[in-house]
Amino acid sequence: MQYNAMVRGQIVIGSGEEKISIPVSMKLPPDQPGSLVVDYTADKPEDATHLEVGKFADWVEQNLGPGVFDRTALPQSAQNLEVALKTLHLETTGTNFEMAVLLGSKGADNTWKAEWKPVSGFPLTLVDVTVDIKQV
Amino acid sequence: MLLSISNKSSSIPSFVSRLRGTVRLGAAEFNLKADLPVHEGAALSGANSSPLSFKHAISDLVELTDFSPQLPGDFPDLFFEEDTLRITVSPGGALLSGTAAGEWKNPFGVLKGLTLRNFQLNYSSANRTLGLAVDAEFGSARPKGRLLFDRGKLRIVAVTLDEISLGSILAKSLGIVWGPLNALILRVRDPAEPIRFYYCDGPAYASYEEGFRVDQAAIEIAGHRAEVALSAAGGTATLAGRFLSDIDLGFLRLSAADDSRMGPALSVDEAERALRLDAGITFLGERLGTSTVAARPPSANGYELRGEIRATTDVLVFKTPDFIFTWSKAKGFHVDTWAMPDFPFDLSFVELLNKVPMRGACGPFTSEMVKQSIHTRFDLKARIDSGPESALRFTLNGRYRIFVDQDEVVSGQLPPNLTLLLKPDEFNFTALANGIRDAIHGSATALVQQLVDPTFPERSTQFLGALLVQPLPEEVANLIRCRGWSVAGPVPTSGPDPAASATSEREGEATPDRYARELRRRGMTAQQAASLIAGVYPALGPADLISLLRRHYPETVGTPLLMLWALDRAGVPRESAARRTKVPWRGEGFTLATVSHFRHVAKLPLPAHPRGLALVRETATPARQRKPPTKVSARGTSPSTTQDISTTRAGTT
Repeated sequence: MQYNAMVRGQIVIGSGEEKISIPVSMKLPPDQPGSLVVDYTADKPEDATHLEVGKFADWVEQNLGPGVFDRTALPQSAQNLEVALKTLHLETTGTNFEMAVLLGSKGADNTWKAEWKPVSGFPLTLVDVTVDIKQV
Repeated sequence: MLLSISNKSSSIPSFVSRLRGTVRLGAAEFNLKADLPVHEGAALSGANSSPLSFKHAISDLVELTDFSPQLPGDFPDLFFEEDTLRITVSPGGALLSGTAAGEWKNPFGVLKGLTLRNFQLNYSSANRTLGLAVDAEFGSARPKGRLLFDRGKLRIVAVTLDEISLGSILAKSLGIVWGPLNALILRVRDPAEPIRFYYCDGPAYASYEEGFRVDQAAIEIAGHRAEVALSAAGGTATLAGRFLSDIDLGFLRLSAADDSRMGPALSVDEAERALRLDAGITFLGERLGTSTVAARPPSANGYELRGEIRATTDVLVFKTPDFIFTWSKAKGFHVDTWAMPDFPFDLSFVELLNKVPMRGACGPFTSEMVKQSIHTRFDLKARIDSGPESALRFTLNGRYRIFVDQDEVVSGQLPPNLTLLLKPDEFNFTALANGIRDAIHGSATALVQQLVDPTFPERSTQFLGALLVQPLPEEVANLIRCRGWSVAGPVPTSGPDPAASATSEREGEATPDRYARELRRRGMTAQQAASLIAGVYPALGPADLISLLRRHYPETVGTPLLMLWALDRAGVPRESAARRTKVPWRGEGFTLATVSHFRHVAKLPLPAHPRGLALVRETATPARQRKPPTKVSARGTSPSTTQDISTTRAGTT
């Protein structure tokens, strides 16, 4: 009889009550010895938990390093958006990390959309607004 | 599980981040991205991923601002090729920029001759006026231009120019020819504001006036700048503007006709093909009302300024100055004729009489000998030209009239072309009047010399008789005799005294012969001598007079017509004269006309001799018939000069 071993858990982005918890599972033994790989793609990130962009930036600073994603670098109108995790790829060797988060907010219909109106009063809308963070 | 990577790696990992998003405009997607981190605000930027119709792009843009796009019917189909329209989103706002190829000829069907290319969209959320920059072609000019929208409607097509000839715009866009005005060069009125050549569809918008217009332009007339604007409607063009300051030529100032602090207003007189300046006129420092002045650009032969100065009141001694002037930089100022009637300047005849050269030593005339109520007036015609060193040269011609007790006694032509220069520091009417007086005074000696010329004793007699206090004291008569001038009554030294004549006759001396000999010695003609002899010797009958003339003027006797004229001057009845000279009154081509008839023809004052007859050619042209009978060459002036002097009996006593 053959047995599979899985490691399950959650990756938490953020802290306290405002956090995004990502359920992850990794097969044991890994394909490459000593390296566990996590791949996550949200089915409906719009419907998942969202995190204020500022808190996301704080998390990035604490966990990835300062200056990787600075909230103040964003246009003012983008600083009030929320983050929804779209994809995550990490390898426990620490040599490969990649994540993409959507930026968006709830509209008048109370539906969260990855849209951004960068200029107040100016009806130009960016859709699929995404922040990509990649280890190089 | 908490994700913590950086602290768990053996080496310090580094990360990059990027912000991206998508914008849809027309049928094209714009994938915007910005690399992070940045020290300042991130700017997302991206271009169209597929070709994009210009109209669709414009449509979407204006629809973004809730307006419907309105493009004129002749607007071309333009496309932004792939990756040529860029959208940038930054902390400063959103910016769209890109260039669409294609061209638009004769925009709106109004700006004929203009071709627009390379439509450069530049639209920002900060300034939400939709506009396009364009490259343009107008003749040989390659100006920059712009298209301006008003709430989705394309309202304005404008190009900017540093310089262009008016004729080029008129011909290419309007099909109009304004003759000399075509040469006007429109230049920028302000280096920061180039000339605008545009069409505004609809009412004025964003500092653009309605319709076809060329503005923010300046022209130069007579070295002075005027701001102008050209507009056109219904096939008619209008150029209007105003000079920035007065046109000041020193002697002539053209200022605003109204209370404006700027210079004269200008418009175009299409009939004259000239600019029309509504100007206040100041000539020689005197404001002489307003006038219309025509102005043109410099040309080989034409004027740059042409106007009429028409004063409504007298200026000093000048009667309502009224004349037409022209000015050009090449030829300067010119007035063909400025009539100055009745210019008063009383000559000092005592001084002038004493200045006439004498053969011997004669005593001077004194003021007591001359009537006190003598006045002189001059009817002048001045020609004005630019002189050296910015002076004005006045060339004067005209007549003088001498009045005694307000009766005109003598008139005649002034020596021709009296000249005076009015220097810049003398540009006023007082200096002009003084200059004219000086010019007249300079010629007055010659003028009086003509009047007392013994060659014309009748004129001399008339003049002196009118000038001098009567009855003529012996002392004055002697002064006249000493000078050899003619004076009323017998002059013993040059003509017989009646009393002396009687004595001489008793002594058997032929006194009329002596008188005739003296007259001939002085150079008088038989005609002149006959008149004088007949006056002095009224007892002489026709036969004696003819005999006398035959002795002293044999050549005249040989010419019957001259003889006849001489006798006529002497008052010999025409039948008697004709019989004795054997000349018919009505000869071949000639007739004798009474002086009164001649006067009617020539409109001259009656000559002194009431019985005089003048010989005129019957077949003469009217112009020749009008030639005055006493026209003689003026002595003391130019040898070629001809003087017309008339005397009347008025004022003689």
